[in-house]
Amino acid sequence: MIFGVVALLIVVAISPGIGSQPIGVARAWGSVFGFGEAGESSVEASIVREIMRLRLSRTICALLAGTTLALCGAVTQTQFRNVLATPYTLGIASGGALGAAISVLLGLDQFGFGLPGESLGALLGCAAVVGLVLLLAGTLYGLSGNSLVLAGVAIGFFCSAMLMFATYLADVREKDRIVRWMMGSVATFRFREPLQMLGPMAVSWAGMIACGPGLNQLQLGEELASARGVRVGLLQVANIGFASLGTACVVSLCGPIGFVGLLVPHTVRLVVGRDHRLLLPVAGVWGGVFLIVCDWLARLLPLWWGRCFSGEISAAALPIGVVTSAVGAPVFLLLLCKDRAIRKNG
Amino acid sequence: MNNGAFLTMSDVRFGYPRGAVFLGPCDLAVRVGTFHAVLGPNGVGKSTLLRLACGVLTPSGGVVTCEDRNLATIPELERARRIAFLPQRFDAPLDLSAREVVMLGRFPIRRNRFFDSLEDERAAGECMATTGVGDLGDRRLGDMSGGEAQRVHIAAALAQKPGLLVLDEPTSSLDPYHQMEIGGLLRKLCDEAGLTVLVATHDLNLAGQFADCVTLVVDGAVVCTGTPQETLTPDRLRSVYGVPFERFCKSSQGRSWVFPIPEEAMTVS
Repeated sequence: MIFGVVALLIVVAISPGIGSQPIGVARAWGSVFGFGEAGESSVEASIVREIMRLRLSRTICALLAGTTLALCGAVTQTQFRNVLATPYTLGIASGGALGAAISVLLGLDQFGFGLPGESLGALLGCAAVVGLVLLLAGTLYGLSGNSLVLAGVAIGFFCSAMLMFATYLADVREKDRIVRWMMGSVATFRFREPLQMLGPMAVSWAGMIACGPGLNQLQLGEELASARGVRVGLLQVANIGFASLGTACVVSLCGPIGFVGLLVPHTVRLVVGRDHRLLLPVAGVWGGVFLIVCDWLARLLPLWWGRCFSGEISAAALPIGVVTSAVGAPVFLLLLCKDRAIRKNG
Repeated sequence: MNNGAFLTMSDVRFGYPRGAVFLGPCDLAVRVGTFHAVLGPNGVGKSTLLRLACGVLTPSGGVVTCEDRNLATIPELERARRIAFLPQRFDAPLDLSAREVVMLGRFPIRRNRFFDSLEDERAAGECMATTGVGDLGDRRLGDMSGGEAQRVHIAAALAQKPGLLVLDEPTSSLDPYHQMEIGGLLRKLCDEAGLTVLVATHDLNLAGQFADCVTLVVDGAVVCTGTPQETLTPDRLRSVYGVPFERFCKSSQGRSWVFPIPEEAMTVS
C-alpha cells in the first residue's frame, strides 16, 4: 500500500516532464507554482504553462480512470466469482459506445451541457444498460450471478450489433470520430471534464471499499455469507450499482479503455491476497499508476519510433487503449507463469 | 424457555419457488447443550430443514423460534451471533490461509470491520486451538487435508461465538478416522463449551455414538425424534430407507451399531 502511494506520487510528479516537447519536470511544476524562470511572462514561459496544463490534465484523467477501472474490476470479479469478469462484463462499455455513436450521428454536441457529445451519449447509453441489466435480472432471475453475467453479455452483443449498424450508416468523418472514441483516450484540454467526474467517481470508490468486508464473506459463497449476517441481495445490488457508476464515468470520460480492470486486480491479488479491505485500496492506487505509465508510453512510443526510423518527430499520441492491452497482456502472461512456477516449487 | 429448547420449529413449512423440495409441516425442538442429529434419505429436505433452522431461509408457513424469539424478526447480524452455519459444500478460495478463514468468522461479532483488533486475533487463535488447528495458521486451504480444512471451518464457525452450531454433513467426505475425530470434537464442544449442535448426516453410527437426540426425516416430514437407542431400530430404519438393517450391540459399553444388510435380490452375483 505504502509502496503504491509512493509510486503514485512519483509518477504524478514526473508526469508533466514527459512528452514530445522536452520541458523538464522542474520547469513544468515551476510554471504552476510560480518559481524559476517560468514565472516570467515571456512567450516561452506561457508555452511551458500550456504544455504543463495539457499534461497534468491528462495525468489526472488517467489517474481517475485507472483507479476506478481497477476497483470496479476487483469487485466485479469477486461478486461474480469469475476470474474473467471486468468492469465491462455487464455490457456497460457497449452501451456507452452505442450511446456515443448515436450522439455523433445525431450531432448532439450542442446539447452536451459543456460535455462533448460523445461523453453525454456514452453516459446515457451506460445508464440505459445498467438500468436494463438490473431490471432484467431482478424480475426474471432474481439477480443471481451467472444469469446476470449472461444477461449483460447478451445486452453487450445487442449494443455491439446496433453500434455496427450505426457505424455502417455514418459518413467518413463520423466513422472516424466513432472509431477514435472506441479506442479510448485520456487526452483532454481542460481540467473541467476530469474534475466533473471526480464527484461520482469518489462516491463509487467509497461505496466499493465500504462493500469490502461483505465481499470478503461473499468469497465463501452466498449461503455462508448470508448465515454470517451479510444481506447478500443488498450487497450485490449496491456493489453492481457502485461499480456501474464508476465504470460509466470512465467510459464517458475516456472511452472504453480495456484490460486495466482485468490486469491490475489480478496482479495485486497475487501479491496482497484476497482481503478486500487491503486489496481494493491497493488495486485502486496501482490502477492509477498503471494507466499513467501507459499514457507516458502512448505519448513517447510514436516519438521514439519517429527518432529511430523516420527521423521526423511525431507529436501524435497513440490511443491509450492500444497501449494498455499491448503492454498489459505480455506483462500479465509473465506474471501468471511466474506465479505458477513459484507454486510448483514452493 | 420452552423446555430448555434453544431452537424450536413449530408447524414449519417451506416450498422453493420452483417446487423442487417441499418441506413440512415440521416440528422440532433442539435443547440447549445437546448434540442433535437429523437423519433421512437423500433429497427429503434435511438441508432445507437446516437452512430454515439457521435463518438462511425463511419458512413459508409456521414459526422458527430461537431462545423465545421469532427467528425471522431477529436482525441478520444478531442472528449470526446466536447461530453459526456450516454448509455441506461451499467453494472457499483455496489460497486463503487458515487464519484468514477463521478471522472471516469474526464478521458478525467484531466491533470494527476494517481493522482487526487484538481481541479478534486472540479469539480466532483460541477457536483454532479448540478445534486442534492452532499450528496451521498460515497454511492455505488448498494445501490441507479434508479433515484439517473441516476443522478450520468449524473454528471459523466458533469464532462467531454462537450458541447453536448448525452443520450440514460435516463428515461426508472424510475417512473413518476423521469422521470419528469430527464427531468427537462436536461432542466435546457440547460437553465442555455448553454449545448446542445440530447436524444433518447420513452416518447412522456417527449419530448413534455421539448424538443425544436423533430426528428422522422422510419426504419432508419429521417421522420421529428421540434418543439414538429409541429411534435407530432396524424396523424403523427399514421403513425409512427401504433396506433391511441389523443391530449389533456391545453390551459392555451399552452401545449399539446398525448396518444395512442387502436382500438376496439386491446382492450382485
